[in-house]
Amino acid sequence: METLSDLQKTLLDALVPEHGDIPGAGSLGLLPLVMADADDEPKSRALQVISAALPDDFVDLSSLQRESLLLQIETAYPNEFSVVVNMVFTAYYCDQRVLDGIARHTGYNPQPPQPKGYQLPAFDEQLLQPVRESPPRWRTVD
Amino acid sequence: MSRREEPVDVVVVGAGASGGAFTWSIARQGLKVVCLEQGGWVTPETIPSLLPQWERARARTHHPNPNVRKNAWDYPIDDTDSDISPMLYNAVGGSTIHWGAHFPRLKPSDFRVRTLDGVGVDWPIGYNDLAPYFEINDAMMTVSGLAGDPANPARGPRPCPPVPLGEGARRIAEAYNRLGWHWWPVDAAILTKDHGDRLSCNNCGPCDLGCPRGSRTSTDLAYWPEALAAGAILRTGARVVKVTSTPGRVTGVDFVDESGELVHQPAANVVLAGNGVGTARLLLLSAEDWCPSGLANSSDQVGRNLMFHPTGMVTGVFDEDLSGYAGPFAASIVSQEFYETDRSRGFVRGFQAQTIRSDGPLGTALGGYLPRLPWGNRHHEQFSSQFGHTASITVTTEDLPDPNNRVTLADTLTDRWGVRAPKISYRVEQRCRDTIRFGIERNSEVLREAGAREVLSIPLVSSAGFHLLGTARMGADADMSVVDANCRSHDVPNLWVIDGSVFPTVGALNPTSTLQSIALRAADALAGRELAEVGGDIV
Ligand SMILES: Cc1cc2nc3c(=O)[nH]c(=O)nc-3n(C[C@H](O)[C@H](O)[C@H](O)COP(=O)(O)OP(=O)(O)OC[C@H]3O[C@@H](n4cnc5c(N)ncnc54)[C@H](O)[C@@H]3O)c2cc1C
Ligand code: SF4
Repeated sequence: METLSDLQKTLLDALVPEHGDIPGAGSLGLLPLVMADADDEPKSRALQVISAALPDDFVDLSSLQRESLLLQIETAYPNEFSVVVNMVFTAYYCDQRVLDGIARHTGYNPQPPQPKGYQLPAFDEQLLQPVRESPPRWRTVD
Repeated sequence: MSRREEPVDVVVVGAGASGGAFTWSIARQGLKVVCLEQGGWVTPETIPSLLPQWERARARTHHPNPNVRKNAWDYPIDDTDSDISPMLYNAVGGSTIHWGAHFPRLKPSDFRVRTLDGVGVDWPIGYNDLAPYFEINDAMMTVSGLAGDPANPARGPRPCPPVPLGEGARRIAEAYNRLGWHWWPVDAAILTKDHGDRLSCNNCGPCDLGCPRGSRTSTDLAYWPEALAAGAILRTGARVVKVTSTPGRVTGVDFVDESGELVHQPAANVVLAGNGVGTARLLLLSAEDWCPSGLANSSDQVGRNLMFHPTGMVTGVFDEDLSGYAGPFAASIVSQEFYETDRSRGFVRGFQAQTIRSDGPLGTALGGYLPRLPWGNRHHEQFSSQFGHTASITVTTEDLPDPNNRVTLADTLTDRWGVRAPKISYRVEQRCRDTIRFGIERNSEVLREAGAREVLSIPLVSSAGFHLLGTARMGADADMSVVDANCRSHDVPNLWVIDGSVFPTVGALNPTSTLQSIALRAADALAGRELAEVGGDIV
């Protein structure tokens, strides 16, 4: 018999599965964060409703079976499901290990936007040449 | 009443975009002025873009919707009957604490929509009345940009050069060039070179969370230090709950201070700068036997004609990495190709097309510019194809005054002091929906021309209630408007409204440059007048 938190951890993994060297949201250990985020009535209710809809053997299903079952749950409880997805995405994309993983594949700076910021080339006035040559285009009024 | 302050010439309610500009001007003109602001100062070190959890902060504590972030100094807004949710901030600096700093001016035709296009109403003032104030305000707000835009009247050299475009906006600009359409780098209240102890922008991205470098101008930086140096007094944590009055004359305001004490501030003139929701709320809360439907409301126009600028969004997904998260999110280029009326399109008035950069990782996943990413097995593939690979164009339209779109007082919802909250009732008119549809089609062409592999759109961004306008409009006819051309109440000569509430119509452009210029002009009107004539004695 799986515990509720086993089911919920599997739910998180199904919503955001593993990717390359980064485990899924549940295996990353994000369940406590998601629980902590459910600090108001709509969020905690949503988590409760979706968790209660998971069958006991959810953990034993294949990834495809889980996904098709979750689609049914999403259809039955669209609002609650949406709230849970938002909470899981929030926990996942605020996790430093995930941000570091994104940085490895892109030019993204995994640190907070400040103080480093980004370098961008200065505005090139040449681009404006065709527009500068066009006639005035605003309506004059008295 | 437990406490009564010393009388002043002018009490201003709200230290935001308009309140800051107005107080600066009036203090420099030698009047004794107190500004009451329900929020506090925002200090640079508390700005979330310095913190690892910055994107979480945007979804919670720093959400632009006060109903979501629920800070102690916020007031709730009942928006259950509105197609668009209001976004605002309550602090010294007001909503400029969270703004994108795109800084266009309304155009001459925007002040004459009845005459030119047969819709809405004309303003009692025109572009030229505001022109000198636009220039003063641009200097104070340290605007970056480039003079010479053929789609707008001439203006002085911009204090700073334009913000960098980044790859997405550069591609879109080139696409506009190939199509032969108008575009121009935006005027933005963003420093692109150092200014005193404020540093130039380093393109970090999320201006909406605040700018710890002080590059993105907000009025706490631009106006308040000089206003205080000129002798203005600013009280924070002061929520005004009523404008006090005797028949035909205001006497001051009652406010609740941080300790919960009710205080009376007597003043010769009361100036409201609480924005299109906060000001209407206060006027309605200030009803008395002699003005039972609200202060300054003999015309029944207070709270009516709420306008938001309904906005749609079109986003291009590109194969190439555009690093779209780099650069001030709302400031790069704007196209006014379809701004002025062309009746062959099937609707009057037009729209602004503003290029927007892309989001951080969480913003990409949760959606906003695009639908939320799918959960499950397709999630990562979609994330990789979108993150940093998108550029968006907003289609900002002009809603026209409709008396049924309005701010009233909520029946039961109250703020933490038990004072009735505002309620918003608002429907997007069909003409705006048609304009957005047209704008999305045309800007989809632009994005394809720019090389986008996929183009997706959102026909109405319901969370784009950033511009709160029209609810105490100015006009020459006292039966149809709340204030006159100088922002002075028709009913109560020593009461003034100086924020975006006074817009009779709103153009299709971000309003802050125009509303601050109106506030500066109103300050001159108030100070230039014999104060006795406007009803008060100078203290
Ligand atoms: C996320 C976001 C992005 C934006 N981007 C742009 C942009 O790019 N360009 C643009 O032009 N505009 C933008 N805006 C809109 C811009 O911020 C507003 O137009 C501008 O701040 C309005 O100025 P205001 O003086 O009318 O009101 P505000 O700046 O909102 O100030 C009103 C002040 O009054 C105070 N107040 C209200 N009631 C009371 C009371 N009863 N007692 C005491 N104090 C009170 C409030 O606390 C607040 O500080 C944006 C807004 C948001 C939220
Ligand atoms: S992008 Fe520039 S202006 Fe915006 S917050 Fe970052 S540094 Fe400040």
